Amino acid sequence: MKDEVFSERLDLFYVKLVQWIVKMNSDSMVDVKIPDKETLVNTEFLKSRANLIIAGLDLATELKRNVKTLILMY
Amino acid sequence: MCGKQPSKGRLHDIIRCIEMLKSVEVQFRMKRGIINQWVIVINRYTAEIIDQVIVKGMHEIGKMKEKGQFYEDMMFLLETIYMSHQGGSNFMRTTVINHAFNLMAEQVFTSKELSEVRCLNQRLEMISNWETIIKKSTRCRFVYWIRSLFPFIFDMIMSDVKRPN
Repeated sequence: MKDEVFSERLDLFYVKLVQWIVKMNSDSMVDVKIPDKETLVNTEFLKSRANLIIAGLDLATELKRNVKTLILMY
Repeated sequence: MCGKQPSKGRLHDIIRCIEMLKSVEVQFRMKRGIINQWVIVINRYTAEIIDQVIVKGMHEIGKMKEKGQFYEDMMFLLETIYMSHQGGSNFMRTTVINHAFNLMAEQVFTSKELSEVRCLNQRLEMISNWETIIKKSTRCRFVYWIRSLFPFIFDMIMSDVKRPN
């Protein structure tokens, strides 16, 4: 990655981060019971929650890798 | 760019990166309790899906009963994987599962099933170790190596009137 495009890359990370934080704090993370579709809804919740946790972990790892690369390249 | 001084613009980017890393850490720390509750349920659910694939494999092996020793070996491997999945994921169990899968013959699972199980195992491991991963990913020990730039960084932070804090 070139030094000049780092800022643009960071803007993209910022957008991803904001989206992730909004999802983490949204109502979709609150348990809801729908009698007819209880099992399906719960498994969907589990999938989305698992994906959110993994997205957060990926984001942190990517961010750290990028900033370390930038710092250590100088 | 090796040997060059970083420009002021890059310093700003470095600070932004550190802020973003810390905000991820704060989110995880704030929701630590609820995430741990989710993780228990997610692990059970993921292990259940893996178990379903393993049971399917057992049925496949059941058809090869006449193969004698091969049947015994494959059944033993599948039972080992199945038992290792009971009661959560840890490093030892993951190692045992991976070894057992490496020893497994191609006839037992299709390549699609095998990649699915490997993917789910990886997911299980990642979610189980989320605290370790987030701790490693968000600690900013690398800042020590740019300590000579601290005066410029702090000067930039203090002189930036647009910053909310």
